[in-house]
Amino acid sequence: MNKYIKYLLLIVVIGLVAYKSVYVKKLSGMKVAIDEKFDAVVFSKKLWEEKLPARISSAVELSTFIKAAQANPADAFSKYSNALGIGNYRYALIKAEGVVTDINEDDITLQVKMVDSLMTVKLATEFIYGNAIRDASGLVDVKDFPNTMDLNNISEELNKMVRKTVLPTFKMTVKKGDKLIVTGAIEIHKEHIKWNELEIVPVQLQIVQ
Amino acid sequence: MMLKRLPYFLLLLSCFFLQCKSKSPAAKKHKVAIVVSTLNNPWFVFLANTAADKAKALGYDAKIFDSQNNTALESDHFENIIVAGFEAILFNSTDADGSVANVLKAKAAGVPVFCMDREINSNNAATSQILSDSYSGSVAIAKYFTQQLNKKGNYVEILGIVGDNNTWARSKGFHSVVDNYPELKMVAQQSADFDRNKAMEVMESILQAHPNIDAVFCGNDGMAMGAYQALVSSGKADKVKVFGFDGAEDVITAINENKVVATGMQFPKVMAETAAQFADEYIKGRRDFPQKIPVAVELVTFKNIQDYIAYGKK
Repeated sequence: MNKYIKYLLLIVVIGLVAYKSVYVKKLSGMKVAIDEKFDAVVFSKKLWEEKLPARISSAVELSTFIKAAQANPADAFSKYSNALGIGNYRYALIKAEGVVTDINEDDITLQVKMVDSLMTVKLATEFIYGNAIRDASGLVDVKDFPNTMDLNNISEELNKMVRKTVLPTFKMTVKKGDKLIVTGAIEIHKEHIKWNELEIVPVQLQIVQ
Repeated sequence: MMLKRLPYFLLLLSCFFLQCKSKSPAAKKHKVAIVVSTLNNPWFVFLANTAADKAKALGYDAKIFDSQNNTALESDHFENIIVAGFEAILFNSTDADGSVANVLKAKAAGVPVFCMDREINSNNAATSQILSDSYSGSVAIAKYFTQQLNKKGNYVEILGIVGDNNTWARSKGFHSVVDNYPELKMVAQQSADFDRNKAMEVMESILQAHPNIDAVFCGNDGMAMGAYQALVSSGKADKVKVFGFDGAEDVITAINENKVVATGMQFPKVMAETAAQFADEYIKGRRDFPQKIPVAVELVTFKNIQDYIAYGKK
């Protein structure tokens, strides 16, 4: 009788060890895991179409931002700007209304109405590169992306969206004297602010008749 | 009866005082190790010294270990550090892949590792990696490069160490812009291992095969100075535009003298101090660190040179 109990116990122990040692997974399940690799194109398209419009509608007026930054830079940067990394560059999503005074090869010069004056700013139309849109949107968190290349690719895809969908038609139709409503991203060096060198990277452009 | 117990009482009393002494902060100072890829380059000397100074300011004993660009030596350092009871490692790796095993060894021993500037190819070995945003810095340089060349011309690219992630992050960032302009033609791309003398030799040989170039983009400032020397020797320094990356002292001077067109200013002070600060916070109990934090690289040209000094801003 004791012999049978011994064998039974041995079988139970072996069964338990085997059960805990071997894991069977469906091949289709493994494929899903591989396919889950980050896709910057899909992520950026979704961000552009689904999340960015809400941020665009709440973009700060350029004049409000400049006034706030001149009065209290630290407060203004904290309230209106964003940056994924550590450093001096801050990025803000702004809205401005202005008149086209010059159309150049790589940019457009705009005369923008401030509270009690006019200000000249550049609107980039050729060199749409860098992290301005990604960071200004405030929609990307560095903690979600352990691969830095994924972050770079998001910037690149958002910039491509501007180069391919926002600018081509606009560049063909815009002319000197047009009134524009621009929403876009700006980069500001918080230690060396140069308002006279401000350049807007467009996200949405509207020519007002 | 009382006299019989007196020796026990004295023994107990002496133990009490001994215990008090051993708990004094001076006797139990925490230690932080700084492991740096090489001390043969002033940029890394600055990084290591800044990390050590910050750790000391936070109340730690700090010791610097030089890996001499040798992963095996780096491995020995890690073993010694673990045995010696250091509580954190501020780390500048020799090799993005080769250094991962060393970091994992420290992790297994419960010693957190905070990478500075150079990335390792693992998302779960180091506690956090504080890295120069080399890609974005090169994007800014490339934009300026394209503007300076009016979107056309022949250029050379001199790469850093092929096994280092920064080499490729800089190259990829640069090409993500310039490759959109078909009239910008790369006539040669060669590695000079981030070394000034090698860059000079590489540039001399490239100039023999391609005498008509308009610009050269170098993966670091040491190589930019080497390339510039080769251009001076061949009498082409005034014609060819040189671009670097780092923000090293001689290139800051060269930009001021219009010899080099631009560089990407890195901030070793920010990276070293953040790593030391993170180590302190870890030792005090914090655990939620982002795996990788980019530190912005700033474009330095003749136009804004007055805002900068070597390795940082004024």
